[in-house]
Amino acid sequence: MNDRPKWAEPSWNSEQRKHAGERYRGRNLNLSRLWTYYLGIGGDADEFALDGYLNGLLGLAPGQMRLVDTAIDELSADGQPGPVGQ
Amino acid sequence: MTETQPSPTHYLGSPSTFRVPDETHVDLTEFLTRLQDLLVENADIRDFLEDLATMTATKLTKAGNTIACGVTVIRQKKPIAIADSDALARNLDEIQNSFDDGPCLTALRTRTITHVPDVHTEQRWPEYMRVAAATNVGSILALPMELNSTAEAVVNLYSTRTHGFSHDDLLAAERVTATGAKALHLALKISQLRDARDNLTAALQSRTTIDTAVGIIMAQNRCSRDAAFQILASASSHRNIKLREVAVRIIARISGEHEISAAFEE
Repeated sequence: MNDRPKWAEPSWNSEQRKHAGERYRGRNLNLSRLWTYYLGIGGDADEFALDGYLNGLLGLAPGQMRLVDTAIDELSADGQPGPVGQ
Repeated sequence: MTETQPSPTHYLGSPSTFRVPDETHVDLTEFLTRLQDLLVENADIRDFLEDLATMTATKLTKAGNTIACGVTVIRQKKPIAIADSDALARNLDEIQNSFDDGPCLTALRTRTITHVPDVHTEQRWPEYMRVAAATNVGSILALPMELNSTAEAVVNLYSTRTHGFSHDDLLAAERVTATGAKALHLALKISQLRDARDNLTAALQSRTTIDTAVGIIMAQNRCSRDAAFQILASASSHRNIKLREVAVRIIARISGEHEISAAFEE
């Protein structure tokens, strides 16, 4: 894309990655549950890539990072009814 | 059945000295059959545990020695009394969890069987024992469940008699709990798979709606898929409405349809 928005700059990308990972861990979300939700709102990355992204090892396309953020927000707003001892 | 006089020492740490009970002492055939029925019938882990607690209490109750059974699990790092055979077990489990200390929680945390032969003379967990002694419980036996790290759970047994658990009773309780734990492990796996399936089904439905809305935005704005997602996400965050809900509204505005469903073979 030639009309790359500000948040697609590399510096923003690495900040965003760290931020998403921290929020994911802070909210005690389950990776598979998060990935499934992200898939449901149009996410294209697979679970492995999402895992890598949340742990600061992989980058994702800007649109995908935004969807991960949305998934974290919407899923933690729902609360997670987990089975025993999750 | 003859009652052996139990020794007042607790059993922690010396399980290898127990003699093996003869099979007629703890016949688990019926118990196993009923556990299988429970696994097939119960949709919900709580229901399963409720039935398991009742079955365990019934299995271990003898004439003149009624056993109550409660199950405590760790959920989000906190102990929760999730199932019980009666009000006594529920009450004692909840008191213990409110103190965050007691024989059952110790059993859960140390993964060892914990025995209180007489709540009136027990020196450990003084706060809890003071409250427990005021109820009609006489002795307590707590057995952690082996669930291969899928979850943490403990079976709490309460007898109204002091020294209500003989060596044989302890062995019987161990076998019943180990068998129950295997069934619970399976129930948890079934439940996790069911949840994963339900979540995937929901994801497919949701994605169909969102993809449709993204297509509409692309056509209206003559933009790329990424840009359309960006528009959708902005609308969602500005109005604090879920992405899927914004997508539903976009579709409804175009076609009047409120339900877009993906055909999915259950």
